[in-house]
Amino acid sequence: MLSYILRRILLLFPTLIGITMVVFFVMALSPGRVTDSLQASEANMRPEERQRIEAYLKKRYGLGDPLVVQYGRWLNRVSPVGFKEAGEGFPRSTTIGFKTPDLGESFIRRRPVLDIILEALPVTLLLNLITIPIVYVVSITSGIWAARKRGQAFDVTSGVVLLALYSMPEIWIGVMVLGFFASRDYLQWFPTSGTHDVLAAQMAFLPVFVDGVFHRGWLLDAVWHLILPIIVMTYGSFAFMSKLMRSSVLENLTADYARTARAKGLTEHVVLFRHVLSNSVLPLITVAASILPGLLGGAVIVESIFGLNGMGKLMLEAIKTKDQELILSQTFVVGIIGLGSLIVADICYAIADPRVSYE
Amino acid sequence: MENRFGIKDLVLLLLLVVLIVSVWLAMQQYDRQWSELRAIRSTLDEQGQSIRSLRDRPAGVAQVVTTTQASVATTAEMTDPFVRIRAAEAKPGFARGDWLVDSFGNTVGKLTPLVSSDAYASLVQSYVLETLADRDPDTLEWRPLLASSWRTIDNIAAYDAFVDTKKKAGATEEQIAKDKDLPSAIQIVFKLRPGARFSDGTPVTADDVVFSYSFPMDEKINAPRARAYLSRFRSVEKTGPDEVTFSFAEPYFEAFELAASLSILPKHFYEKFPAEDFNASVGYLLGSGPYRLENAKSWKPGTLIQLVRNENYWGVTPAFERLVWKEIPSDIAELASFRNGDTDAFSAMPEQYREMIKDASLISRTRQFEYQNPVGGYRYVAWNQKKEDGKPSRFADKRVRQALTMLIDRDRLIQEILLGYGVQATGPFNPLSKQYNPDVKPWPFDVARAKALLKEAGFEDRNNDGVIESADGMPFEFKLTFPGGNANYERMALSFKDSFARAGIVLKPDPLDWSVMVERLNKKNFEAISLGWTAGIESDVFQMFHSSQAVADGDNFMSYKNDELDKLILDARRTLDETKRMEMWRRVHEILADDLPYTFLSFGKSLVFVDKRIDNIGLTKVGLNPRVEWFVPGPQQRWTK
Repeated sequence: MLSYILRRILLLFPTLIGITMVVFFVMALSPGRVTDSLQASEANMRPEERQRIEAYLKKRYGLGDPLVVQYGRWLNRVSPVGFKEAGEGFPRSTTIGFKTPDLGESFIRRRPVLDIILEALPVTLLLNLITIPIVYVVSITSGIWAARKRGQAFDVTSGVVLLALYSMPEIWIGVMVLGFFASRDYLQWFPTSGTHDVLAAQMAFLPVFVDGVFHRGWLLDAVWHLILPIIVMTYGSFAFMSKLMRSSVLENLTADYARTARAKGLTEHVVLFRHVLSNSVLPLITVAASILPGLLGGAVIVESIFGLNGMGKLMLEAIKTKDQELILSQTFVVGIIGLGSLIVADICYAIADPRVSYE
Repeated sequence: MENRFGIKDLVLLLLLVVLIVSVWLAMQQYDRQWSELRAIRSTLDEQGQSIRSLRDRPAGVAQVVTTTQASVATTAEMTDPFVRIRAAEAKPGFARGDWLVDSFGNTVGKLTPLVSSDAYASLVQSYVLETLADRDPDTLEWRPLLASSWRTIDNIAAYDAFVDTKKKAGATEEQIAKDKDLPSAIQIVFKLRPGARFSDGTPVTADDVVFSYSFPMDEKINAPRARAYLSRFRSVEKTGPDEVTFSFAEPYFEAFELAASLSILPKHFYEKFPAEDFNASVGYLLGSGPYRLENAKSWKPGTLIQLVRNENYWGVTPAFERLVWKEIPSDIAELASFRNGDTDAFSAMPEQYREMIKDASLISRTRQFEYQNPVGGYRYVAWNQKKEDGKPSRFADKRVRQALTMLIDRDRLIQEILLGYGVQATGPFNPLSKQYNPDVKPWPFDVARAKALLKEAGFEDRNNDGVIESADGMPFEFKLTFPGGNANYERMALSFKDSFARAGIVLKPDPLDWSVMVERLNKKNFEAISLGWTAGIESDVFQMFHSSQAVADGDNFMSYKNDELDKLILDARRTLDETKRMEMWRRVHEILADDLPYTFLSFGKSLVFVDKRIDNIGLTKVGLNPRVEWFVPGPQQRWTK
């Protein structure tokens, strides 16, 4: 087991290098220069001025060097082991050693990439930490119930309803939901965008009644702003997990050990919840691993429609403006976490299922 | 006993999770309290400082009194930049207070001046930072703001003489430009207004003006765009206790505008930051303007953008207590917010406007403004006069360009795509600008005449296949490039395709991604392209139409050359006398309308909605009047009671 883990971790590095190399070269070889995205705001500049800006950016960010050199330089900067200045890192005196990784600076936003990512991450994490439990709980319960009453009313209707929800695109639903539930013309139950109200800074934390008028309070206001985005994010995911759970439970309900348990005289209820359930959840563990990278990639559509500044929207804007450092660093971060979570999921699977062993 | 995970364990686990979440929420609340405390402390600090400076003042008050008496004669000459705000204050129902909530269509990355890169940041900075002079919205005359007066020293004769002698001696233009003995063609001397101060109480001095030039010119500061703009100045020097002189190397009509629109930054605030810290900063914004950030250093992207009124302002403070901007990236959410009344202003696209004016409840709650924006831009189609191999293309023949212009039904375009909210463009100048020549008539939509012109130029249908060919049998086909993903451009391209087909020309629409399009444009790798330019109160068309700008990356990307126009543009740029200059621009308009390097399409109208409770909104020569003149009468105030 230990050797398996070590092997997987060691395999991380070539995979990461491969991913970032492909992203880097695709970006570098695609048409358009870095400064072209800055053109829109500089339409009235003379060519000498524009050339001066380009020359400055080239010098500052080393954009004139050959692509392989640029990539090598980025890789060195990002890795904790590499060439460094003498006097930094560990050991201090040598030029090769351990050093703190530096994710670089975004040319377009002119800020350290780490700061930008650290600002976008909490929003995405929050959205996903709320979405994933909801999706799991609803899918597991509906999956189990559908399996128990196979072929009957609940099974059929839940299948149809969940599939229908799955087929409706987020882009359309997001706009519909805004138009009907957040608009003065219909029902104005929710706010249109953002995470806080304009007056949020002056609100009390918990909801209060002041002179008989109900004041939401900061906490409830934040929750209220998140309801619509969470609805749009979760509704499509139920179908997949629910069906998975259902088939897994069905398979286990007809297994030999379940038959033995029934033969021993246990009720259906006990068979299901004491024996079958823990075995049926196994496929969902593997699926969880593939959800995690998506979690950090962010939900681009929801974030764009509701104006939440998360990782997905960040990546989209970085790509639109060809913000090289930001794209590479985000790919790198999401890559590490994604691959790491795959390893963790495999280990969890080995723990959960004693029949599985990696040797 | 078996070690099962039962209901009890689940309940305990849930309780644990709830406990952890509440601890985290409590930490969040502590954080909020902490930032409130810090804000309170910084306000107290500032107040302490102003009290201290007030206490120290009585000794100097006598001096101030004497100088004001002496300068009473000159104060009458100083135009009051706040005349319009005072007029607003005199209106019935005037009340101070309330907030103005607007929205931005994108998230703002930085508010620090010089290193911020978007138009939204510039808008926010325009309320906090001030310039030496600004234009009166009605007369368009320059009125003094941070400066109290100025004089222009016209040295053009000496400059010309020097350049001539050097040229005769064989020096190149570059050598002459670098020559230290070159007399500055234009010098503008500004006298600063006494009493002008930044929002933290520090007076605005000549050192601050010089700093506003020298700080961005430092290569360590990541402000290449500001540097490119500031390099047009030869130097900015302090020439007296309250006097600054701007020198220009070449005679240029925009010299005064460039000097007057330099944003004045406080030296005492910005010089403390090391260069890297300043470059990476997001929210260091302090100025002398009517509004300020609550805390000049601590804004972070993602937090609400709000400016509070500068109660320490040296001039007349505006009515709104706060200006707030919400960042709403999705246009649907932006429109929904405005309809719900969460924001107070909205600029509509023609299709949105058409739908919105049908909504009676919306109309009753808002004021609508439909106006020709004097600084609005125009749309055009540029015809590349050179092929990839450098030889002249079909569009090099003026008759072809004129014929193609007559094949485009511009009125119909305005009706169908701008939904009637626009006017036809006959040239690059806005119809409301003095540069516009009203005698220039637009080309008519005339298919027959166009066909005749094409025939004259050698293009006719020689083999009866419906497509016209040149003398050597090449069919008239070309690609029209335009920014992809934009429905309006696409519909326009299709409408052109249809009109051109009637004359036997095949048009192939070529939508491109923005950065790809810009690269092709710079390499001049296109046949015809449709884009738009923004305009100004007086726009200099040198970059677009002068033949010297037909270099790589230049804006004369269609390689157009007209010697008379070249000379006229250069002369106009040098002429400081406005009347003579405008005559020259009008002649430029005439030439361009005949030569048609672009087919000028349309100037769009601005369509704005504002919440009805806001009073004193009107149209001026620069568009809607400045927001510092707006107010909300007491009983209708919404955000402050």
